[in-house]
Amino acid sequence: MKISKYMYASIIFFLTETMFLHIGLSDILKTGNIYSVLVGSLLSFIPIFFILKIKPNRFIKVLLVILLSIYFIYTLYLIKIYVQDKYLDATPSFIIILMFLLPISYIKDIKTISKVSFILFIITSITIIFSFINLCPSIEIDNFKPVNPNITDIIIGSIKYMFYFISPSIMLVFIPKNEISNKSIILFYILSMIHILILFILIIGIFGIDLSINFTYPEYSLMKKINYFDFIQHIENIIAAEWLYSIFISCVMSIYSIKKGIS
Amino acid sequence: MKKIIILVLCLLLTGCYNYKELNKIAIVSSISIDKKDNKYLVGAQVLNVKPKDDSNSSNVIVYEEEGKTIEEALRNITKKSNKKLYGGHLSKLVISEEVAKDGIIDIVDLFQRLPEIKDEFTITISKGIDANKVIKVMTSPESIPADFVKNVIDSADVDSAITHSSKLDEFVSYYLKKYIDPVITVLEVKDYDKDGTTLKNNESTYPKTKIVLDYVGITYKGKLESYLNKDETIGYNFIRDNIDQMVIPIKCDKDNYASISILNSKTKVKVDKNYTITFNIENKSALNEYNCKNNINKNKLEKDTNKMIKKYINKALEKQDKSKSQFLGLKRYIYLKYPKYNNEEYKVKIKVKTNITRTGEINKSSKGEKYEDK
Amino acid sequence: MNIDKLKNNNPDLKIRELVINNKTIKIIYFESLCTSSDINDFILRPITNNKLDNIRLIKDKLPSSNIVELKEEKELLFCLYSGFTIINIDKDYIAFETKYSLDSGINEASNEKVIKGPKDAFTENYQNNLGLIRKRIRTDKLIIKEYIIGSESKTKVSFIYLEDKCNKDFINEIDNKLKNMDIEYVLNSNYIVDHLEDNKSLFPTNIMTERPDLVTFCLLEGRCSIVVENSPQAVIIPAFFSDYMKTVDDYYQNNINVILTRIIRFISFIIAIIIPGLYIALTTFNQETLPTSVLINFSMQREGVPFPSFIEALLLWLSFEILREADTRVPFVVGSSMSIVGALVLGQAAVEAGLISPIMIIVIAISSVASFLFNDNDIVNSIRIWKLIFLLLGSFVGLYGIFIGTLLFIIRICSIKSFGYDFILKRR
Repeated sequence: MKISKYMYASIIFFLTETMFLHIGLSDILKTGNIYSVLVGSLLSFIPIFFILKIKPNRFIKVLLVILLSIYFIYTLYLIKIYVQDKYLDATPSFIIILMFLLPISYIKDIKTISKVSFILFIITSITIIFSFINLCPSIEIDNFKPVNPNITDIIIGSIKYMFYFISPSIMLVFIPKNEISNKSIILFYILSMIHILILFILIIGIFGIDLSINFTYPEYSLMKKINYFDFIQHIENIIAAEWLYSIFISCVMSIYSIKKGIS
Repeated sequence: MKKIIILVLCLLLTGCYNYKELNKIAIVSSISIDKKDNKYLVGAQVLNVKPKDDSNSSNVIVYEEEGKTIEEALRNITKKSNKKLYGGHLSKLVISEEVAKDGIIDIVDLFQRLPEIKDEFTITISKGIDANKVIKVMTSPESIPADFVKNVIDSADVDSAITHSSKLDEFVSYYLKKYIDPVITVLEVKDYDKDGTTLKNNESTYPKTKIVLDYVGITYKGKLESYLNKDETIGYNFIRDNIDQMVIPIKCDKDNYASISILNSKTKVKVDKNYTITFNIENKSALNEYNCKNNINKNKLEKDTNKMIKKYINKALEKQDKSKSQFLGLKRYIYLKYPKYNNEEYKVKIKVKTNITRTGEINKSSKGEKYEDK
Repeated sequence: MNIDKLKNNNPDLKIRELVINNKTIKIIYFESLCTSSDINDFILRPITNNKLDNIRLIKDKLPSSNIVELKEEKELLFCLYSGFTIINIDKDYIAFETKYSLDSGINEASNEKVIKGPKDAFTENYQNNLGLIRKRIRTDKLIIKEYIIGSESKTKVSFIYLEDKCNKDFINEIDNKLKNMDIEYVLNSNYIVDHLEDNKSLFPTNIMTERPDLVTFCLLEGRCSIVVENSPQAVIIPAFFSDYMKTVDDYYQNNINVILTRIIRFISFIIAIIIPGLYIALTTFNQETLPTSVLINFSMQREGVPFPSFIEALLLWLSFEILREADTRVPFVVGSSMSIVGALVLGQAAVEAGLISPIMIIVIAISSVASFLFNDNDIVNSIRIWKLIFLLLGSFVGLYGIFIGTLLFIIRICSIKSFGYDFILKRR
């Protein structure tokens, strides 16, 4: 009985990190320091409480359906450029999107989504721990050092962080309210926040600010550095499947929410 | 049922564009870049796949071509090679002096941008010889020459402080930072001979043509400036806290030396507001060799080691004063603490502390124990 | 009631007529279904010795444990075909049971072996099976409901559950379905289960087992069981995903050691499905994932092989499956030469002829052996299909296809419902 509350809340873990993939990380790194991330993650607790109290009436539903259709097309675009850049160069993009939509056609209700996302959460947490353990010794503290924070930069950075973090989770409105409890939602928000914070610390700590601004996919280049015993190297293909799963859950949830919003 | 048909159809439509069979790709293990009449002459060292029990043909094949950019030169190699080049396992890059003096940072863009190349490979400069001759040397028939040289560099990096292996991302990262410049490993070929590229090089116990490490070269604004010699390299490693293990010879008598082997060493840096940098070096060492007749005096040995380390560091500081390149990164240490630093004067103080923990299996050297000498 | 018409078509129908006190007593039975010595000892002898001549006396005096008084023709035929002996005086019919047990006695389980623990198994005798379950659970909460299903075969089907542990809605649902089931014949227990629920997935949602101790454990957990006449397998419903990872052995061994065994089984399940597809995806699409020395080794082995990797894998998989299928069909005496031929085909000869590379044999062999860890044939067959799906996906689209395949697999498992219960969560 207890597990099912956490199953619905594990959808949030993947929803919040989707917007960070190609655009979010590079955008926040351009502000130049890590304090915007810290401040933003503390400030983003406030909108969460408001979202939990929204009751969907007709006007909100129409607005959400329009926004979510734009989001759905955005996730398809994101999967196309991500897979074409990293995995398959020459395959036509139509096939990539078609194969992505194929598993979605087997999902029929919200209970399946919650179970799938819980299993994916377990797999993702194993790969995250596996990769972080190996990357921690390579951090150089000098890369954080020039400590001259600019207040406007920090404020702009934290507002951007809040936008990327909170905006997909308006889909929580459509989950039936008796299945989730506030405690489990807050728990998974905190887990996701810690995950993104550690990502930022690793990127800035290992590469330094000047180099990491230039990357197109900083989190992918970070995974290139995993090295176990000089034997298991370059496994970033497999570890970066975490982002594929998060795009998948976002896509599925947006389709489900659009269906619920129309009816 | 309909979904299965759609799946099978769209699988068949993929056309396998990215399908590369293993025996149709040529795995490149190192690349050399030279300059010839304003064009790049690029050589690629490619693995030669042969059955295991055939030891009459060589491990690697080298192809060379020229072109206006590096990628064009690599594509021109398809004129000669029967397989497509694949750079996923690239491990070494050799640049000639001429290209380095024109700018190393000009040629690394390809290696950062291509998605299939991993940026953990080593950059080296070949001193006094063309770069494509370096990759043609046959080092040993059992291993790939690129791996052999890379292992030489890596083990030298750990066991003795006479070099510093520079990887690509570290190079670019130091180039982009303020007040510091990167350094590059230098290779040399001794007794280059035409036979050095054949299996004859390994027929005897003493190979004639050898690839040898030659300390380190320093850069300024991405271009090669000059070379460091042995003492300066050791001083550089001490200041940048890169030492793992090394050996220092200490004079213990008028003509004889003892050797102290450093087990681990740590450098701590402090800056105060008069822009005085203080280096605190602490290390643990062991006494491995004592060729003098007299008794072992630990304090004296420790003091002599400290003096020797200070001498190395001073040599590096002198070289820093003479050159434009900021390879030691002293100004960066000040900048990290006081962000308003703007190229003012600074002073350096060094404090070294050695702690000899072991003196080995025997007490006095057997040299002085013979009855007639006592 | 027309007995003589039956006698024309059935040569094993015997009619014995006795005349006692001027009344004809007819004794009718099927010779192939009844024990003749029982008829002699317990029916003919008391009748002739004591000169019983009416139905009431026969009913009171003859020693027999199972008597049916017949009123209509359908019942008479049913009893005749079930091995009863009919005694006919004037217009009254009465039936006595004298069945000949046509089975092999209780012997060892042949398909599901354990190291420790009891080794008896179900047989084709219906009462034996029920007895094996009853002697392990000696409480009055054990409910057995019996139905007769099948218009031509009229087999007895019983539905067993423990009253205080099983879900009431579930029991009522299955009860209704069994009462209204309308099929022609029931040859084995899976016929019943296939009509109970329409299951479209590859994974079976019921366990068919021949061990009574497994049935006992499942009954005590709150599940139900169906036992069918003439079938040595009992069916346990509902079934969950974690049942595939368990065997009966686990209940009889040390608790902590069993955890490691279950982890090994889970890992081998994943290996059996993913490894061929993953190998092909890694060596043809994403070669940078393999370490350099391993890549050189694979590259050396693929020199001179004429097929592309995908076709090589398919051919090897096909020959493995042919070998496996042949292994179960070949009679025992010819068995040894089959194994030699199999070893030749897939062993050195194929490699030395230059047709396949050794590493592909190792990959497909590991995946096939890992799938034999599971004792239910249904699961091994479903692993086979998923392996093929992953192979196709991996060789056409590479590592991206393996991820899509993983998503497909997880979604399929999460949406299976086994008789109203969740396949993974074990709840309604």
